[in-house]
Amino acid sequence: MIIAAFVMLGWFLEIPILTRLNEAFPSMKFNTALSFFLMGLTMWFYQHRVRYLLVIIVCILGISSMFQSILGVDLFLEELFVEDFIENSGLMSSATAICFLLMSVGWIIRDSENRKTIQAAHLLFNTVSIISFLSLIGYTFGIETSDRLEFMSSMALHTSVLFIVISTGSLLPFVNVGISKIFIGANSGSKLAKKMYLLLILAVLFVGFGVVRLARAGLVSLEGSITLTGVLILVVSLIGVTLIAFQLFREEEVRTSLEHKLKRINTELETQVEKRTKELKETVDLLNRTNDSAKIGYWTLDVNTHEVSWSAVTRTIHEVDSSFVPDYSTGVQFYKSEKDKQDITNAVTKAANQGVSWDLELEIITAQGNVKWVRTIGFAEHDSAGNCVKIAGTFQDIHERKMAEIKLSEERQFLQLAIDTIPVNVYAKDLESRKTLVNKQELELLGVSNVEDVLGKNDFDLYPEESAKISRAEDLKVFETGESYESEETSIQFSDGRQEWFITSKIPFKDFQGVVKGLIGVSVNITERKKLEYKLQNYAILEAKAKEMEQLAYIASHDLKEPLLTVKAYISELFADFGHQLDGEARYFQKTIEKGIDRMQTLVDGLLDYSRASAREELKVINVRELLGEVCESLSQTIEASGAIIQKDFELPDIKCYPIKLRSLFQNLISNGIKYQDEQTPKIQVSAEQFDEYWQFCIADNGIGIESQYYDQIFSMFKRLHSRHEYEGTGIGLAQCQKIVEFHNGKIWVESVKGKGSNFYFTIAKDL
Amino acid sequence: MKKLDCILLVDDDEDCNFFHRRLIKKMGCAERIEEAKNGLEALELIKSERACPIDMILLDINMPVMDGWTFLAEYEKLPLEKRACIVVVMLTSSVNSDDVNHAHSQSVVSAFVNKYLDESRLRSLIESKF
Repeated sequence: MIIAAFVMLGWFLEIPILTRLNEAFPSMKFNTALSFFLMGLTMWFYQHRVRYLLVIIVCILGISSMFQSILGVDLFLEELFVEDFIENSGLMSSATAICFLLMSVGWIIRDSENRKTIQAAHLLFNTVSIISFLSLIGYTFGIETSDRLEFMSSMALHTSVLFIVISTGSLLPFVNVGISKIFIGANSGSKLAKKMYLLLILAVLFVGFGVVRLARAGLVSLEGSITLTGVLILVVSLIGVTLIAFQLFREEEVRTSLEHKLKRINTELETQVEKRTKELKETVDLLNRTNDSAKIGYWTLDVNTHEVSWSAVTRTIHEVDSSFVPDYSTGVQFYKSEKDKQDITNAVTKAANQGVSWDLELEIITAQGNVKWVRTIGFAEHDSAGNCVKIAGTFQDIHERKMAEIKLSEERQFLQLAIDTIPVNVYAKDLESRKTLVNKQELELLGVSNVEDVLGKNDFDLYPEESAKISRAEDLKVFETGESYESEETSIQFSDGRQEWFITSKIPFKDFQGVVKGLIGVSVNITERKKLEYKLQNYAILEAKAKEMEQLAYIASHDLKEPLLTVKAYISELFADFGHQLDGEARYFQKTIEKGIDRMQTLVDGLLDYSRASAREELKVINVRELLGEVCESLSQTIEASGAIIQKDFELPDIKCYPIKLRSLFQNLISNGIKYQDEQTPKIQVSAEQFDEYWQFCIADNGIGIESQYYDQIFSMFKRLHSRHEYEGTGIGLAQCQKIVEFHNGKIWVESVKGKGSNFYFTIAKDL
Repeated sequence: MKKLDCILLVDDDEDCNFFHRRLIKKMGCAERIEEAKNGLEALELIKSERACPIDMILLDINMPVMDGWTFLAEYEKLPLEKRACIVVVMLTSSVNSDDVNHAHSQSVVSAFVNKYLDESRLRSLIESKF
């Protein structure tokens, strides 16, 4: 269309180059250009009705031009629009006219329903292509316009090209029709055609061009050139055919092998399908048999109509005969309790509305009045729009299994109740020493309230590592030997420092084949007994030691005392009888000796007192305030002499103690408070404080105090902080106090500020 | 103070016997002073005496061969005429309350005194018993 427009423009504006391209070539006539323009419009509107009008105009133009050139009748059409300024005649060539005629007829019949008609249109288009091709060859070979066939002498170059383009374009919608099918197709025939056509066309073009050039140059004669042309085309054709034949042969081979392969695969596939079908049938048979023996039936429920269908097994489970017609509401009524009815109704509603499937174990009453446990499974089926149309599922008689389960559960509850009731730790373990059963006592021991926190855990999870190792070793021994581990004393040291003692037996648990599957452990908590034992043992040791000490002190003091008394008596007699013979210095000696002897006697008496602190005595409940009264009475001389003030807490308790020892304890501490004084008046405060497990007493004085480095030493035997010159003392008193406190399962200590006074504390256990 | 006929000192400690013999002699409170080193010797001595010449026995507890307690047990078995007029006094250095209590539980023991006696204590002892 654009080229046509340019040519028309060329005619109007009289620009020769646009009409003929080359001076030697014939020009495209205005009518030709107009016709092309119209053809272009036709192709533009290839679906619109206007195309028929356009082609009819082209047809008339073509026919009129034909008439003019064949009959020589001048219809004055040729220069109707513009005057030809190049050649004499503005008439389009007869070849061009025929082409337009054929093409326009082709376009008129091209959209016919009839296949034959379409093929005819094809033929017309192809003829146009051939005519224009011939014209093109003329140009290619460079043949002068005058040398060409008269018929197509003045078809312009661009006219030829446009005809080829338009005819090919017109054929495009019909690739499957006529000759074009051969070129477009992908089979071997098409390949051959495409290659051969191209080869032959090119061969003719090139050979023709070459031979024409040679003939013109006078190198070959006319006869020679014809022969040369024929031979060359033949050679090229032979080579081409051979190559193509080889290629086709190879492709054929590949195709054949592929066909074989395909055939084989097909055969295999068939065999497999057959096999699978058989297997499927067997599986379905097996499933049916299994379902029958497992008492599994099927059912469906139409959500819209509420129609229900039951399989034979489902009917058998309900104990109804084949004449029974179930529906949704009768189906629900079979369930035993109102709760079960509600549950199944809810499940169906949920499946229908939300597509949720269910799996429930419920009780039904059959048509025969028998109660049965059933398992019902249901799932919704949806149509393509996603609406639930059907609910289907299985229905299984699980009565026996359920009853066994219930019985087992009841037995287990009974067992649990039984083992929870006995005051012994009971547990079972599997081969990995994981707890599979524990009773209440065991839970309490572990300080756990929920049994789930213990089950499945091993000793390493539950007990400190050391205890767990020992326990695991015991377990392994039982598993390996298959023999019980009986009545052994074991202990568990918990991380909080608590130690629990047990007498443990571990009995292997075997299955019916005698293979050890785990063990049952029974532990009696003997911690209290063990504590008592330990206490008794301690007490026995203490008592033996005390006895020994008492013996030692007694003998020592007795044996010491005899020679001492002898010396004292003799010295006394010596000075009584012979004193008058001695001078003043000898008198001083006498006094020194007597003082030494007195001190020695005090020490020996102190030792005796100390040994007496270990003496056996009955426990008694006494009032501490009264006891202090007695102490003050026996210290009355010392108290009066020093002017000491003794203050007793008004609230002093009644306590269980060894009274003679306790009196000695208070007496020692109070007399110390009075003795170790500077110049001031001694002031002693006695108080008591109650704790959970003991009483704590405090004897506070306003004396000279003790430096902190001596806090421990002062309770040692014969330990004295002061010279005799300052304070009289044996170094036994506080050691004796410590001994007495120990007898009362207590402790004694001092807190003091040097120069301000000391607080002596001691405790007396309540549980004596 | 009455002057006694005979005082028997029963003690393995010679120093002690010497001291008390000297004290008794010095105070002149007995005609005769006999000594025994242990309970057995004391028993022999009492048996060998005619009639009952011994007024007072000063008896120690801890002695070899036969101690004071065994002597007392044997002494009680003697015929009454052999011991009718004898005053038994425990003379010991022990201050053990067990010993004191034991001594008081023995009917034949008249007194329990600690060693050594001096003039005043011996005088008051004799005056209280005779």
